[in-house]
Amino acid sequence: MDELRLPKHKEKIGYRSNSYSVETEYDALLNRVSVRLFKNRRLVSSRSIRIKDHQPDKPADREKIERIKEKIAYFHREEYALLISLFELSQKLKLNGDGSAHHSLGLVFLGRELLEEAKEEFLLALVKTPNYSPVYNHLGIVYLKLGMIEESIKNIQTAVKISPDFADYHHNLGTAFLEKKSYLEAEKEFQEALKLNPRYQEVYLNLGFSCLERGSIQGDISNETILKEALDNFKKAYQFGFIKDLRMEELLQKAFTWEDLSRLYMFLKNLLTEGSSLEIKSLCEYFRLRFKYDPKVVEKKEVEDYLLQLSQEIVEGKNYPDLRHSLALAYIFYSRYILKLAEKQFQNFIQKSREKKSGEANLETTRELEKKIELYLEESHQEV
Amino acid sequence: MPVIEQTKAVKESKPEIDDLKLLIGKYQLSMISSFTRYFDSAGKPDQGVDLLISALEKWPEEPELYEELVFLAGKSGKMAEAEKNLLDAQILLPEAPFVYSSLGKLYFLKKEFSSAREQLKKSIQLNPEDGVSLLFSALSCLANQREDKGTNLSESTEIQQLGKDLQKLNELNPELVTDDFLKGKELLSQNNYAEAFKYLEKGLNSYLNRKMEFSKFHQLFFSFHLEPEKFDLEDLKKYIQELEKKLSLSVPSEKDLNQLGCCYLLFFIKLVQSSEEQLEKALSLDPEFEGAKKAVALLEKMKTEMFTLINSLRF
Repeated sequence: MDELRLPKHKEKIGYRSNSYSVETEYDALLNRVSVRLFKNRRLVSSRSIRIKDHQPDKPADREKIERIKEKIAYFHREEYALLISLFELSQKLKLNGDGSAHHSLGLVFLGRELLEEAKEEFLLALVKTPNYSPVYNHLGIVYLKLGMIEESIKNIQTAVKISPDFADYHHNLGTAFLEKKSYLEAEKEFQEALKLNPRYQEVYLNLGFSCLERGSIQGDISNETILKEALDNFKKAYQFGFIKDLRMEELLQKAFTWEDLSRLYMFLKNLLTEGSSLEIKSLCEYFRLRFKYDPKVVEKKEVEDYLLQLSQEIVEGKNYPDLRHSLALAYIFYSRYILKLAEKQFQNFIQKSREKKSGEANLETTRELEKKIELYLEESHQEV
Repeated sequence: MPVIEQTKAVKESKPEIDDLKLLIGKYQLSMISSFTRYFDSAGKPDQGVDLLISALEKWPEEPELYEELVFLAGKSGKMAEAEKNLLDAQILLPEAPFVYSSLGKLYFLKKEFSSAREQLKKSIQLNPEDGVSLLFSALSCLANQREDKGTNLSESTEIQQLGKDLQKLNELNPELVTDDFLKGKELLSQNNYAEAFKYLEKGLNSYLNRKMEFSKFHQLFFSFHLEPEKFDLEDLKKYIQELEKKLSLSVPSEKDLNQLGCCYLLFFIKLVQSSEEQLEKALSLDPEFEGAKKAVALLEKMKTEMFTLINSLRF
C-alpha cells in the first residue's frame, strides 16, 4: 500500500473559549479510517472505521484508491458536520430546549467523550426536569469518567432512588463502587442489576472482576471459593454475550488460578465490550434531536446512512430495544422524503395529463399522508 | 434507498380473491381494475367479467370499468351479460360517451359491424377526442365495406373519411400508432382493404392487450394487498429504480409518471410497516418500554387510515 499517499484531513472549529479539531486519516496496516476528535489540542475521542470492501490481498488499483480517498473524506466531513451541528443544537436548546432534549444532547456529547459539554447539558436538563432519573444516571457516568467518584455515586444513587427498577443504574452504581474499591457494595449493586436483568453480560463480567479484586486486596488470591465465583461469573458473561470465540471457550475450561482468571477477564472485556453501545446510542440521540429541531436541514442521504448504520449494528449483535425504537423513528422520518418524491411525480403527471382527476386525487392522498406523518413525528418528539 | 428489513405479512385476514363481494366491499376502483387484470392473466376472464359487473353497480360512472368489461367479455365469451349491463347503463347514463363506445366495441367483437358503427358514431359525437373509438369505428367501417363486394370501395366517401380519421390518431392517441398500424394505413392507401383491416386490427389488439396487461406494477399492488407474505421489497425497489431510470432517459409517458408516484407511496407504506415491526421487536425485548408502547399505539391508529388512503390511489 506504499502507493497509497492518502490525504490526512484536519479541520478546526472554535466554540466559546475552546478550540476543537477533527483529524481523519487512513491506516493502511489495519485498513481502517481513524477519526480523532481533539479539544484544546488534547485527544478526547477516536473512532476507527473498517473499510469493508477493500481486499488486502489484491493490489490497490487507481479506482480502489479513489474509493478509499472518498471514504476518508466522507467520514471526515461527517464528523466535522456532526460537531458543528452539536454546537448549533446546544445554542438552539438554550432558547427552547426542554429537559429531555438537553439530556439527549448531553448523551451525544458523552458519546464523543466531550465530558464538560455533556455535564453542562445534563445540569441544564436537571434545572428543567429535576426528577428525570436518566439524567442523574448519565451525569454520574460523566463524573466517573472525570474521576469524581463521590459525585458520581451521589448522582447515580439519586437515579436509583427515583427509578429503582433499572438494571443499568444498579450496574453503573456498582461500577462506581468498584472504582472506589468498595467491592462488597459494588457486588451488592451488581446482584441488584442481575435480579432485574439476569442476562446482563457486563454485570457478570464486573462481578467476576470484583471477586478477583476482593481476593487480591484480602491477600487471598488462591481462595478457591472466590476463584470459582469469579469463573462462574465470567462463564455467564461469555454465555450471554453475542460474540462467540473458540479460543475463549478453551480458556474458560483451563482457567484455575488468579492469574489465569485475570487474563481471562482482560480477553473477555475486549471481546464483549469491543463495540461500545454508547457510540451508537449517542448517534441515535443526535438524530432524534435533529429530527425534532432541524427537520428541514437533515438531508435524505444522512438519514439513509443512519438507517444503514443502525440496521448493521442490530444485525451485528446490538439487539437493544432502544436501538430498535430509534430505527422505527428513522424509518418514519425517512418516509417523508419518499412522500415528497411521490408528490413531485403526481404534480408532473397533472401537468402532462389530459385526465387530471386521477393525478389530483393521488396528490391529495399524498398530502393527507404527509399530514399524518408530520402529526406522528410531532407526537413522537414529545418524547425527546 | 436504504436497506430495510422485509416486513412480515400485514396482520389482517387474507381476503379470498374469489370472494368478489368482499373485493368490491374492501377495495377501491384501481385495485378492482388490477384484480380483473389478474383474473385475465390467470386464465379466468369470466371471473373478471363477474367482478366488473358487480363493480359497475358501485361505480356506474367509471369509463375504465366499461372498457375492461368489453375486453374481458370478448375473451370469456360472456358477451350477452356484458351487453345487458351496457344497455342498462345506456338507460341510466344516456349522455355518457363511454357507454356508447363500449357497446360499439362489444358489437365489433360480436362482428355486428353496423350496430358497432352506430354506437361508435354516437360516442365520437359526444367525445371527439377518443382515438380508440375512432379506430374501432374505422375498422367497423372497413369490415362493413369489405362485405359489400358490389361497390368500388376506393370511391366510397366513408373510406376516404376513414383515411382522415386514422390520420387524427397521431395526435389523439400516439400510443396507438404502432408499426402494424402504420402498415395498415399504408395498405389502406393502396386499397388493399382486407390486409389493411388485418394490420389495423392487430395494432389495436396489441394496444388493448398492453393496456390490460397484469404488469409488474399491478403485481406489486396485488401482492401488497392480497399476498403480503409474498411481497418482495427488493422487487419494489428494483422496479422504482427502473422507472426512475426510464423517466430520466426518455420523455415520460403520463402512465409512467403516475405509476412511479404510486410506487413511491407503496414504498412509503412499507417504511411505515418496517417502523411498526421494529417497535414490536423493541417491545418483545422489553415489554415495559413506554416509548415503544406509545409509538405502537399511535402508529396503529394512523396505519389503518394510511392503508385506506393507499387503497384509494388511482392508476
